[in-house]
Amino acid sequence: MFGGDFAQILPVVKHGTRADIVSANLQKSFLWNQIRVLTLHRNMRVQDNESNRRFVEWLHNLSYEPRLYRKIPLFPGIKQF
Amino acid sequence: MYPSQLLQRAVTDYTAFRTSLILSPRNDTVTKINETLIGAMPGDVQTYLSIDTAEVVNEGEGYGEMPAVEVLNSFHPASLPPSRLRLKIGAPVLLLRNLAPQEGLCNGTRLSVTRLGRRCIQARILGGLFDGQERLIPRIKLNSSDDELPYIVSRVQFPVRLCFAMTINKGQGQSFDTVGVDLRTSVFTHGQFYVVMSRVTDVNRLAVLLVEDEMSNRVRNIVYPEVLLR
Repeated sequence: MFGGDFAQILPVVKHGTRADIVSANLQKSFLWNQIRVLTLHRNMRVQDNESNRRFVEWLHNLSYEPRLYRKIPLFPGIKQF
Repeated sequence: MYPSQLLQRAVTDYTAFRTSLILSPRNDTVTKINETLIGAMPGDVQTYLSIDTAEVVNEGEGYGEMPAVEVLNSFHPASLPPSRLRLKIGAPVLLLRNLAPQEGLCNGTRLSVTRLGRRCIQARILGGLFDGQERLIPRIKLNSSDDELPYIVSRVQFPVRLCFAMTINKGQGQSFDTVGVDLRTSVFTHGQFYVVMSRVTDVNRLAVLLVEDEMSNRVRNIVYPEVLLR
């Protein structure tokens, strides 16, 4: 059994290019097409309240919303210093 | 990020650093933050010097001779503790090797220093199953990875480094109550921004440091969509 999240940091390839890093991940393994993927849907870490609910949505969008793949403003609740 | 009262409290109360941490993308900024904060902490610094030796791996041009000890001491590869390890009572440290996984001493375990002996340091485990328990840490011989330097450096030192701050990559998979993020240098690879933003349990306990002239306070988010499962 494997556990993980492809939205998180991938295994480190020293001095690796984007192509090197992408090709070193589990999906490129010969094992991958024998693996059945099960998905978790609820963020268990963040406490449940009004501002956090929007924060959790923002966190999810960071990975799955292509218009956020660039320089973006921080989530409004985050302190800056 | 750490008010001076917290640095003060940490001397006697190990819980001060249990749930808060600074995260930054690069090792060099992390080192700088740690050096600043060990200086700012109250108490006397104890400096532990390592014993370094080297073994030549590539018998090629230029690497025939053993480098001087001073040269070996100046190496700071990520796989080794510092050659001059500066510690104070109460300082948070990160364990760099699995010493005794069944007793909670794993690569990546955070501890708070309680005693600085000549041959051993004593520290309390921060968080997890063994939270608050004290452990003795001996000096051990550590080898650098073979791809970092032209030689394999063997360093006899306590297998720890300071961790007021650590890299985002080391923080992956952990939760903290309070996180300060140093983004004066941006993230540089897939997933780092998501990981660093998602370590807290409450958005109100997250703070970010940016360079002042950053265009309208924007931060870089790097995603390689080709690895995401849809």
